Amino acid sequence: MKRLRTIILLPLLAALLTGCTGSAGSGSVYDLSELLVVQVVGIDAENGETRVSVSTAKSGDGARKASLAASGGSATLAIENLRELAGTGELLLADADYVLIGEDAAKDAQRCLDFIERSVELRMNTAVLTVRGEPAEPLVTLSGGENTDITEILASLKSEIESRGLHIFTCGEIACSLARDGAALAGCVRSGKTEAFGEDVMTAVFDGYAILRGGVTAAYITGDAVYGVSILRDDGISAPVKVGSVTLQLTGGSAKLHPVWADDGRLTGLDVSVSVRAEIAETDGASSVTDPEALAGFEEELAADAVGWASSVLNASRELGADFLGLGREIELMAPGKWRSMPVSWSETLPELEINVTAEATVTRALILNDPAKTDGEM
Amino acid sequence: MAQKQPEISAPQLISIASMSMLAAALRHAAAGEAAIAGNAGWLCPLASVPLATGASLLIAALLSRRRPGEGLAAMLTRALGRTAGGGVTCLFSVWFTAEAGLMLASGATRLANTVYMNADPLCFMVTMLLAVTPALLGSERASARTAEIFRPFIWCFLLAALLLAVFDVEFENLMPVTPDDALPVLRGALSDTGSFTLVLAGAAFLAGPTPIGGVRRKRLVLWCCELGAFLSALCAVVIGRFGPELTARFTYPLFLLVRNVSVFGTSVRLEALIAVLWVLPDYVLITMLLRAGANGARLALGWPVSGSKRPLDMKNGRWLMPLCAAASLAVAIPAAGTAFRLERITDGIAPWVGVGMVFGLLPVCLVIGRLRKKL
Repeated sequence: MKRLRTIILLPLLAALLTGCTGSAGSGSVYDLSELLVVQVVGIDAENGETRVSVSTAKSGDGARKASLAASGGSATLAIENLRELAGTGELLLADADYVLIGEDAAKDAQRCLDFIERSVELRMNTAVLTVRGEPAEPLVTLSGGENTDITEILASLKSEIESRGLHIFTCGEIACSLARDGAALAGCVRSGKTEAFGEDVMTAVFDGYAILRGGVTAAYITGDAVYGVSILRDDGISAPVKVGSVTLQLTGGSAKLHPVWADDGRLTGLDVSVSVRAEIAETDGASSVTDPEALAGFEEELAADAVGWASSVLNASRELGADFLGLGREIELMAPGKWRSMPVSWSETLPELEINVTAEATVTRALILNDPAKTDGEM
Repeated sequence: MAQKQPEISAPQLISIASMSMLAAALRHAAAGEAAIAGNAGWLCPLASVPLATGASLLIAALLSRRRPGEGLAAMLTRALGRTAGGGVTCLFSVWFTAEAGLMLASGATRLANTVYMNADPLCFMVTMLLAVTPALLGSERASARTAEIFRPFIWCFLLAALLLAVFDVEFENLMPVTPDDALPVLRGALSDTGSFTLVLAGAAFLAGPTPIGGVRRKRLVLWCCELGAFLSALCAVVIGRFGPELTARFTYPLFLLVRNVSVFGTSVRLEALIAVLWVLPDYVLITMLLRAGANGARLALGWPVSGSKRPLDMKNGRWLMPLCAAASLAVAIPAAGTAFRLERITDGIAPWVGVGMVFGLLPVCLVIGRLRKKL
């Protein structure tokens, strides 16, 4: 009887243990060479419709590497149309590493994020980048030419960006920040041209951060101001900057917040102390890097730059009323009692906040070369 | 008279209760707590421990007055008399059967919403019942052994998923916690308390000579603390990873957590495996609830709970077992109609019923039994 029961029970349990079904719901098993493994997804808004473009990887011997695009009433419908375009190939979105959101679609970024969050295939830890000033489709489908593709370009870009202490935000991070703080940052790229193997090819270039407020792109942080984001987020900045006659390699930066409370419990100001460290990477040959006065001068100039970077980011946050850095959360952690008894809400307080940034910089060492050899014969 | 040997041992009962508790608590883990208590949501399962301990000690106190061969159902019938006792036991049976139906619906919609898209939840419900019914009609010892075998698997997978996810936790999302959070935390603890009461009462209704009376009180308290701490850690990882606001928006935050777990960059997309393994605690809980429900109904109608273990023998009211399974399906089908409806019942009504049954009805039964000098 036991054996009979086991024989009846096992096939029933096996019905629940068949693994994940195919994305189209049509089956469970696909030949690897038939799979179109999507690695980059582009989302654009176009004439009231959503256009989705994808770049796929070569999944096995005989497999194709393809770039496809299709439009639909929503991202979901556009993907269904893409599946039809894929023909015999099965479109697999589960391994997508990047989602690029074109300029127009980013105006309603919340909708794109909602699509990713709800998607059965896409993951919350997929990197999301907005494309500044142009749609995502050309970047997704045309980048890289014959020898490379957008996936490889974005992978190397991400690695390079992160080595500088900047951050490519994932869908989960952006959604979490939007839900918690009402605003978020998203990495930004634009198209550029580069010459490879004797031909001009399109590539993606990092172009700062987009500020999302309430799920809508409100402004951008570009240029050296991105270092302000890195310092204020304590991301471990590591980037070269030109300061006067020398080039310094930033080796770290952090910021401390000091909220200023009024007697009536209102938060009136925010003092921000920034601290940056750097090493000397290159000089003009004439500047002494061992002279304490010259070093102090470099440090002073670097501190002034750091104040500028941090101020531009903090001022953007204040002027837009968008707490994309999570300042409110940090202040709440410092003084939860005062935070909860604030007579004016944080969203009303932020635009009125008096922000005062101070910075101190330390140039720690000159690497393996002290002062360069003099060329006028003096020793 | 020689005391009848328990059909299942105390460690086996702990295995059943642990697996059942995981199934009951994981269906709403983190989302409800985050919605009610925000940053402090991870403290809700811990806050439910004192109440769970109280419930376990109350049931243990009741069972300490049992006679050889009695379980909680038999005791209630003796304490309150045939009619009133039978009525109360029937009430418990209805509760267990309805909860089994909700669990059935919850597990089926989870599978249909996460892995098997576009599938009809009904096929999962029927499959689960087809798997559960032979276990119900079989021996209790076999079911207990199943729970014992499943338990380490589930613990290992859940602990591994938590450890891998802990690297993505932003501890700022779990703070600050201030005295102002006490009330929201207590309100958020209701659903976990409801799960504890359901599992403890269900375990006490298992066949006569065993349950909680055989488990030492210290072990019961430890069990409540262990489960509370584990569920609290689980909520902390989920809320720390997604933040309380986003966590509260998700239907299955734990599933999403697992979906985004990467095993040091070598393996991703483990969610299908976890979703299917999650069926095992559901199986144990549904089996336990239906057995408890059928046991109560059999006693209320005057049939002995012990007896034949042959699956096709329907004497002594054993037909009530498949009937309870069918009744649970009748509850599950409308409950699984929409996820919103199911959520309203499992998070809004079910915990209150559990708390009311254990903290309201059982003490009254104890007092009446004492007054009637039957306990």
